[in-house]
Amino acid sequence: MLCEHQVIVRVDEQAAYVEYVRSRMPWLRKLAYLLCQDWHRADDVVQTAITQLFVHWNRARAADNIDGYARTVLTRVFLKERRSAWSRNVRLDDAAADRAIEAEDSVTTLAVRHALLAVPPKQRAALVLRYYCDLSVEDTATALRCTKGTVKSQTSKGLQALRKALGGKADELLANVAG
Amino acid sequence: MNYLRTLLDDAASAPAPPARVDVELAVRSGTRIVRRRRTAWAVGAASAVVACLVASALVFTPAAQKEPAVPLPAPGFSKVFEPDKKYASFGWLPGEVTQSILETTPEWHRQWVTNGSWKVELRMVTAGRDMELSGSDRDFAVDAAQVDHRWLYRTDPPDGRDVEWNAVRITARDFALRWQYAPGALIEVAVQNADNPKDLLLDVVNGVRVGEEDVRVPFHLTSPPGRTTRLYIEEMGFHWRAGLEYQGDASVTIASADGAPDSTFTTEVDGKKARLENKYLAVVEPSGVRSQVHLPDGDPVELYRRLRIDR
Repeated sequence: MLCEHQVIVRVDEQAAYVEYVRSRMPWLRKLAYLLCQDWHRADDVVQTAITQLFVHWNRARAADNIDGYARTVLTRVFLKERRSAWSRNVRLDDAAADRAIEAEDSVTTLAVRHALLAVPPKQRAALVLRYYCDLSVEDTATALRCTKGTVKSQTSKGLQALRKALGGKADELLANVAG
Repeated sequence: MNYLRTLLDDAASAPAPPARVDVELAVRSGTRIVRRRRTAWAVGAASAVVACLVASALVFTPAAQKEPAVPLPAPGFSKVFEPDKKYASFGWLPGEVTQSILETTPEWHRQWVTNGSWKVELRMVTAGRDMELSGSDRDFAVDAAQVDHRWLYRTDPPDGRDVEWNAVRITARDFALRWQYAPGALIEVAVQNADNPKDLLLDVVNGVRVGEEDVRVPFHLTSPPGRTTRLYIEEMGFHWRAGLEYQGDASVTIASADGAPDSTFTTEVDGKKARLENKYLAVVEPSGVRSQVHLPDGDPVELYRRLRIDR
């Protein structure tokens, strides 16, 4: 009986996992794309992240906020991937697939995307978590596995790097952003 | 107002290509990881000692082994492949192979292996030819002008040799790495459906050895109808199939026994059940092996009589 019960629970959990991942896939890909600035790499990061999410699904379901848990896993996978030798060897920054898509983007969007590429990965992650996901300094620190002070400094440096990369457009685009 | 958020939102709103993310694959891979972890917990103290020894061995393994050690070019490599040979070997694969295909033509050589889940493909072309990138065409040796080189990204392996990452992705290939095995001659290895395809690809590439090797073809013709243009050998468990194609579209194929011959085997050749149709002759050998010969410009029965099965 115990085995049957376990199997039923496992099947239910798996169904819940599949339903969750399918429903949140566009959001996960979008977040990964913001971090990676490359759709191929973004999909790789999402694939690894949802595999880890499956492994820790019990913990994720028990968490107050499953989205927050998934976001943390995805951010850590992105940072880990950026540190790997493979990532350093294989540069897909100017992937042709993304080049084709660029034609449809506005000048501002293109400028921001290119500027984001110039921001180092951890600073980029801090910016995305703080300003795109609206996370507090504390929550960002938890997601990035660092101190609040590090989050503040990474955010500040990230904004500086973004301003520098935006060049003349920086004042116009980042006029209302503190940091 | 969080204006940066609006900018980031715009930056993330680029039209997305179709997702390559596979939820079922995540479930399968995740299940394997969970199972492995449970097994690891169940291992007792004795196994822990063994694990420590193994871990120590791994720690002291030189890190360079994980890097793509690109096989050295083979000096004086032939500009034309001989279709009764193979030109590379996998030194390492992630597990037992349950199905394999080997093909050689004068211009290209291909090996494809799988265990039912992961798949690894090796492709080579002769010097001066380029390789169609997507892996979707059987005749993948093409002129360089036909290849969109924007899809290739140069990587920097530790030994300074030129290695290119083939970023074209279709269903049949997740990751592919290509390099020159001899001046102007390309080889490519691609993987699909592995848990960690990038690492697997590097490990497979590490083991690839380029070199000419005879292939044992389980038959021969006392007098071939022309120059050999293609060798094909497939093995899957107890089943196998081997074939040679010749100039002028002639071909000979023999395959493992496949049950009793059906009702289309209405004729006989040399006392064996046979089927003759559109210059194709199929014969059931006494051992059960099936032979098939095709001779568009001649008598297939006469060609069949030149066939000697060596298996």
